[in-house]
Amino acid sequence: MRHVLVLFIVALVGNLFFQEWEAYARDEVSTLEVQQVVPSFSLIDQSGNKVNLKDYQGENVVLEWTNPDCPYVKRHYKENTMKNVRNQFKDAEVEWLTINSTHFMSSEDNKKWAEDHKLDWSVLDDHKGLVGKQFKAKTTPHMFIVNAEGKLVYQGAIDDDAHGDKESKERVNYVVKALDDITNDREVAIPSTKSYGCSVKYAG
Amino acid sequence: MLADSTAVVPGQEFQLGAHFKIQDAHHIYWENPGDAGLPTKVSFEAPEGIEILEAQYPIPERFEDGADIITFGHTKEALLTFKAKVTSSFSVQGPVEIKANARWLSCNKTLCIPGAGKASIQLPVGKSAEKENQKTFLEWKQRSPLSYPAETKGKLKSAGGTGTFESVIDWEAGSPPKKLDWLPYSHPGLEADIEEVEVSGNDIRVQFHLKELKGIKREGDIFRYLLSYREKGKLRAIEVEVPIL
Repeated sequence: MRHVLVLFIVALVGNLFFQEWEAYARDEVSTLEVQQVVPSFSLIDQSGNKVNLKDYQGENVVLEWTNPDCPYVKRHYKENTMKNVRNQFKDAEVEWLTINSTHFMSSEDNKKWAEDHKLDWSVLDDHKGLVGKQFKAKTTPHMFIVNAEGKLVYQGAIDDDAHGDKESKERVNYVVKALDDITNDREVAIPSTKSYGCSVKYAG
Repeated sequence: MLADSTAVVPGQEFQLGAHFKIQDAHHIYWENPGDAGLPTKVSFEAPEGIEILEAQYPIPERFEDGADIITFGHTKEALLTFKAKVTSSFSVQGPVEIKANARWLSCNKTLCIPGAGKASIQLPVGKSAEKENQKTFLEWKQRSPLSYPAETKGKLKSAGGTGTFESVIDWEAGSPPKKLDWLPYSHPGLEADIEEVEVSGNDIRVQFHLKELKGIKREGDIFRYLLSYREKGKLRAIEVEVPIL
């Protein structure tokens, strides 16, 4: 009986360790480039749910790096940039996940921010920064699109208007362009741009 | 805002300076901010007949923000200088007012604050002018990079363009510095990555890669970068130009 108990504990600890390993990307795995298959990850959202990228297999997924304190994120959320893009493609099997790799923020902070902005999608806690480093997320915002085949097909800026000077109809929204290409079975015409914004506040 | 001249003289040039005083523990960004941030920019309103050219930035510092995020910028203070050319037919009656609009992003380890400001300067128009603020402009000129010749091999392959480049710089004054940082200027439509900076005898070899961003218009055929180093505690840099086609 004691042996069974020991084995059970070992199995439980081993499983937890494996889940912890699975939950975060390994540092030593090389970081991603456009057209590479994206490894799965799982993170906890603002409601305490575990969200796994592989649950969205077969769908296109937009990953948006955020930091609620960043003035560029604040401007886009005030202007509903992300919400408008997300709503434009909501019926086209496009999912939206926001990821916060700010080392001094928590799921509670994400929850409050999601509530303040009435977000109906997941805001994921990556305060350890492992998923952010895997994707080489450098700024907030920094946008990535993973297609239905699990490949990274876009990385970079949300648009071409870092200062917010242009009228919204004059801006080129790179995420809209990429999703438009994807949902119309075209190759993404602009797969990579230079992102702008505050640096992601990783630990260390 | 400063000028190095007491007056605007038709047919002559003068310099303007936009002086930034930066909060402690903060930095503002260079013309290429690097992986994050936004460049510090100044735009001008000047009477017709006065053309104000692009900014000359002081040598930037290199910051490592963690997770391989490299940015370039300025701490404590920075003077951006601008050459102003006056046409020989300039006939506006003085004094003339030149207005500057500046935008910047000021960041510390945890927070970024966008900033904007205005400044102006009034100058008489005359047949001659005296030098002004010479000490300040000279001090900041010494904090600017020096153009340096280099032999560079490499070309950007057309239609989609990637290329590996190698510059060889023959260091003329004594032994080259041992530690050099590579700071590329911004070049819309191009992504630049450093492979290696190696000092070998009197030569500095710089190997880097350029890649055209698909769908983004590339501007210009000359790529520029700085190699910065410390000399007796002061930040110095050479500027290298590379034709890319």
